[in-house]
Amino acid sequence: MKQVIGMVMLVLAITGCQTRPQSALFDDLGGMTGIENIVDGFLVRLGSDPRIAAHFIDVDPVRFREKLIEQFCAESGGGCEYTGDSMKDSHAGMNVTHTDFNALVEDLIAAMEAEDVSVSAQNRLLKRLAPMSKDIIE
Amino acid sequence: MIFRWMGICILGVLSANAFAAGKLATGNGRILATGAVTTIDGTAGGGIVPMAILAGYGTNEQHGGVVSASRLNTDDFALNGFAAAWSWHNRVEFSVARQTLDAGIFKIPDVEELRTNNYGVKARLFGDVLYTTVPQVSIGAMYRESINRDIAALGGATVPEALGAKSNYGTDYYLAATKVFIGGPFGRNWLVNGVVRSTRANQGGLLGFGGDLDEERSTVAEGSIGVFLNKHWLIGGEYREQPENLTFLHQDDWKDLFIAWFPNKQWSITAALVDLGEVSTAAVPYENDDRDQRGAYLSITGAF
Repeated sequence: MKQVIGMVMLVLAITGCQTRPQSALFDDLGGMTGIENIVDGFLVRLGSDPRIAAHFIDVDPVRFREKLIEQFCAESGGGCEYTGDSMKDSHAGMNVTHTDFNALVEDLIAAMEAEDVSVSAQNRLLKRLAPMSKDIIE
Repeated sequence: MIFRWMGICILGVLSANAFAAGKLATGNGRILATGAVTTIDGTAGGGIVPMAILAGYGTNEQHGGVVSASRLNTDDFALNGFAAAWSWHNRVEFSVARQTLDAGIFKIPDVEELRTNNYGVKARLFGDVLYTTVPQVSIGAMYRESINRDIAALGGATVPEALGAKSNYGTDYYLAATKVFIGGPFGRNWLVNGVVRSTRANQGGLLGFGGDLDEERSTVAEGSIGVFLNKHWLIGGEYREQPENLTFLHQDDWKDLFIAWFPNKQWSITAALVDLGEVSTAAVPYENDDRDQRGAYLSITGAF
C-alpha cells in the first residue's frame, strides 16, 4: 500500500510540474520556417512511402502543403487559422486504415527528426494531432 | 544458459521471418515500442506486470508475434523464461511460456528445478493505447501448470504440494487498462497501466496454487508507470500484489524498476532491478541474512 501511495504521489508531483509555463510549441518547432521545412520533408516522405503513397496520387500538392502548414501553425499556437476541410471530410472515402495512419505518423516523426525538432516539441505536436485519428481512420 | 536461450530466440525469429516471407505475411504497422515487451508470464507488458497491449506490431489489419528469453538472478535463485506470443488483428493474443526456477534454495534432495508452463489468451475490448481518449482495455486469462515430478524425499509429493499448495494448476483472470499520454509532463510520452487480477497462484504459480491459509481466489492489483525518454528508451517501475495462501511460505508483493530499449521493431531489450520480497520460510533457511530476494532481470524480445 505504501508503494501505491508513493506512486500516486509521484504522479501528482509530476503533474504539478506541468503548471510551469511552457515555451510556445510554435517556437519550439522553429516558427513558420521550421514548420514549412517539416511539412516539406513530410510531403517528400509521404510521396515516396510505398505503404501509403497511393493515397496521395490525386492530391493537389500545392494546396495540400499550404493547408498542412496552416494546420500545424494553428495547432502549435502560431496564430494561423486553418481554412481547409475538416479531417472527416478530407479523408472521407479514402479508406485510411490503422496501418496507413501509423505509417503517416512515422513519416511525420521522421520529418521532425530531420529538422532536429526536440523530442518534447515532437510529442506536443503529436498530442495535438493524435485525436484527429478518429476522423481519419475508417 | 541464457546464451542458449537467446540462441533459440534468434533461431525462432529467423524461422518466423522465413515463414513470414512465405504466404502468411505478418505486419509491423504499429508505432515503435507500442508492442511493449514480454512479461515472465509470456504475455505483452513489462517484466512482471501485463498490459492491455497485445504482443507484436501487428495493427488492426495485420497479425504478428514475438519470441523472448529472460533471466532473473536474485540473491538465492535464478529464474529462466522462454516465451512466444502471437496476435491477430490487434484483437486477440495467444501466448505460451516456460519458466524454470533453480530450486537449490529449497535444499530438498533430488530437486534441481521447478517448472511451470503458462498458456495465455488476451483480448482487446476497446480503446487504443496511443490514439483514443480512453485507455486500451483488455481482458486476459492465464492458465499455468506446475510440471514438477513427485519427489521421494517429500513422500511422493511435488515441491509445491510439500509446501502446502492445494493444486498444481490454476487459471488467472485479469483486466488491464493501458494508456500512453502523448506529450505529457516534460513533453514526454507517459505510460500508465493498471491491472486487476483474480488468482490462486503462489509466487506466480512456481509454488503451486492455493494453500492452507487460502484455497480460494484472491483479487490483487498490479500497476506500471513509465516515461519514454525518446522513442527508443522507456524507463519505469512495476508493482504486483501477491496473495497470501501458505502458512509455510510468506509471499511479499513483487516490484521492479526497469529500462527498456527499442532500437527497432524487430528487437527490444529490457533490464530491471527486481525485488520479489521474501520468498522462503523459516523451514527453508537462507544463506543470506537479508531475506529479500532482490536481483537483476534481463530479457530480450524479437518481433516478427
